[in-house]
Amino acid sequence: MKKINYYPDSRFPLNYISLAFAVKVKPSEISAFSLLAMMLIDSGKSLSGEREFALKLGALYGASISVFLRFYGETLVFFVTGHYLKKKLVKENLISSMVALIDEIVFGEKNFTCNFSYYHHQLLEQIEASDTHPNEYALKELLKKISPHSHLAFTNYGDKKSALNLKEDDVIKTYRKLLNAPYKIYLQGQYTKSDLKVISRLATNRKNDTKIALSLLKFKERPTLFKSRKINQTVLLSCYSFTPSFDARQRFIVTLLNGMLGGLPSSKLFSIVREKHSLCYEISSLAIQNSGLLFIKAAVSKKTYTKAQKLIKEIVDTLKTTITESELEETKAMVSANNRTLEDDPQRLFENRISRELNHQNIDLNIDLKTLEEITLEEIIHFAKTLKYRGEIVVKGEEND
Amino acid sequence: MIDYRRIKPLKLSNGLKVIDIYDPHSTSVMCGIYVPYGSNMLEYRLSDYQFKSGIAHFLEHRIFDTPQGDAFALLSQEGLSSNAYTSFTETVYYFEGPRKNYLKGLEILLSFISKMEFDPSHVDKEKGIILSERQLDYDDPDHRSYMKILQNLYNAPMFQKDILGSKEDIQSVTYQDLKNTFDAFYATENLYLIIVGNYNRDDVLSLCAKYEKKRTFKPVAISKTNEDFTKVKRQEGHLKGDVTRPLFYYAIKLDKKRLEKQFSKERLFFLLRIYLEGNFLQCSRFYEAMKKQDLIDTSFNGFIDQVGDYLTLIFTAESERYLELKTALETEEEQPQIDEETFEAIKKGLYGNLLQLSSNEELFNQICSSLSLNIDFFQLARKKMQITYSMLQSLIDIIHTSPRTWCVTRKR
Repeated sequence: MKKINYYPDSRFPLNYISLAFAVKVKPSEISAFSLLAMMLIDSGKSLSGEREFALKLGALYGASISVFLRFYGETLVFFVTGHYLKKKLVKENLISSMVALIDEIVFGEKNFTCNFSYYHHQLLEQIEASDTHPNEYALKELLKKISPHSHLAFTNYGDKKSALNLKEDDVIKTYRKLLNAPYKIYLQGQYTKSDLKVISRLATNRKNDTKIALSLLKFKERPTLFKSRKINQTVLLSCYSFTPSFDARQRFIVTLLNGMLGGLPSSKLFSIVREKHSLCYEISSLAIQNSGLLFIKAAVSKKTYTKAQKLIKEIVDTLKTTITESELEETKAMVSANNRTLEDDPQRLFENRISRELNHQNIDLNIDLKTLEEITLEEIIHFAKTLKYRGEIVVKGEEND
Repeated sequence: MIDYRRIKPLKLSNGLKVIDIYDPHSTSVMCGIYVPYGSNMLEYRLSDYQFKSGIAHFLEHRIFDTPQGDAFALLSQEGLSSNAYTSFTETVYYFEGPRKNYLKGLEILLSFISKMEFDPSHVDKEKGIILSERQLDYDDPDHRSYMKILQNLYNAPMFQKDILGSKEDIQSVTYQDLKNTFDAFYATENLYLIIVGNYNRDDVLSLCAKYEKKRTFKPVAISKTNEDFTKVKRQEGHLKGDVTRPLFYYAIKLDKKRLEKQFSKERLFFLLRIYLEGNFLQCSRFYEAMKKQDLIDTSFNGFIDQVGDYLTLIFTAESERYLELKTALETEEEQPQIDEETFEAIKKGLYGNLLQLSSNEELFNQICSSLSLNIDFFQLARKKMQITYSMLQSLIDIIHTSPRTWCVTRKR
């Protein structure tokens, strides 16, 4: 049973099962994988029709199966995940039905129906729709300029140009690539020996060594871009980079710095730009660990955006000099609490367990939280000094209201 | 796993109502105060005083400001993450965090809920933040379409102003307005404490008794607008927005009181879910047929919207061919397709969804929904939803005669 990573857990009403495929991808391949994800779940549906599939899941007491993508540097992990109610609650063992459905969806090669034009159209619509949201628009425009590969970290749809050029053959090739990719099976909940035997059907004669690695992004220029949109608020987005790492200590340092800057409600950006100066409602920072990117975003008034810009830059600078022990301790408490509370949410816990395995981190949270406690103020300041400014975008609104 | 039979609300001598779900295996606690007063409940009066639109939301922003500091920050110092929201009909404050700190968190929560103590000079400062939030809402085509469709359907004053309040009302808010609102609606008799996870009930109850002195709920609701459920205010609406494809909303206005009388609140809610799933969403032949004709894609959705006495079925889609979709929706209503087998499969799925709730957050949110909709979802999980196919048939007959409207947002 080496191929199956099983996390026994009796506390929740649901059992979880996930297949995680790791594939090294080029940016131009993302749209094909994205399209494949849509197709696979619908291909499963089309075995007996989408309606029949929905009714099958309903009859399994609202069981669920989803397909989604996550990026680890240039490695894409392709997840097929399902959950269903335990036997104790519904007096029925649903495991065989779930395994059969997942098997059909992923490995039902013979039944793979490639309704290419429909999904291609869907994909282009999704890319178009993501352009309309002011924040996503700002992010895409900025990333296009500063690092063409960095969109690996965010978009599940790939870039528009690759998506437009996609052909049906590309998707079929991508499906073959997925089937040849190494993968692992993850389980959480209560499984008997006979359940594991049923699940092992999914592992027979297939590669099972999911390995991922991080790589550094390349940056081109440090622009300040100005765009305008027919929206009310002006969006400010700035980007910094750092060296990504799988090391638990280094990842906590990033989390702590982001927490102090704008990742938590008590952060500097929130308390100074919003609460003290009343310059906006929305302001926050976001660290993408696997890609080594840190973003600061705010929605402000057209009249005051330069004041906000100046303040934000000053706040980033203060991280290099004037953060205090009490700020660090408070942020540590929040980060530790956030990690602890996810133990009470089966979905988040399952995703976190898989993610920790993939990130080569210790699966025992207690060991990691000890590392968190040991982190010093000097380490945070040192890290803040290594942050590299990569550029910013101002999407000017019209304030019609 | 949660034993739903053990969930019983408790009313304390100070009037505060406590709803709790204890889970000994949980490592954390989620706790909150539910105030059944939302942003636009304009029917309430306190003597001659009329509450402003958006005042509940304004108070929700300001109440965290205490003499000891920002309550958000105080909760953070205890490792507790906190937030709040205001809807049309309720305001909710909550925190979540490790078991060891929850009593300290509860103390902070009760202290700012029991006494409004912020600096009056901070009121004006908040106006800019709220107006900025209001502009963000205006940049969201879905938010604007949702408001527009409610305004098309109903005469009720609560839908005529934005959920954050009108610009004029926000700009004119005074400390006294906030004080009046707090005194009226934050009376202990009007509040619910919700707590979920691994806590000690005796400790919670004694802290509630210590902080909360009995405060009586005084405002009265003047008679509401007599809504005519046989017709809509406007047949259609047109907006311009930052969209790539036209955003289409289609809505059916239902007579909630009449339907509840016939089916009971709990049954009605699930019969409507089955109606939507079986007739229009993924379990329906309609969905398959519309997809084949390229009239809908994954953006198509249908949901039940309940705000106070107003019950609406809403369909949304991004589509260039929205007029064809509108016709298809209308035609489909004349030919209901749910057979008994489909009915049973959807019903089983909905029952399963009730049993799947597992995280503290899901359970907390379900309690808030129960209070907001006045539906005991936990009772439903116990009773395995006693609804029948013939009940659905009767409901479909009523829906077909209900009035409807639509709205489209096109590119500027």
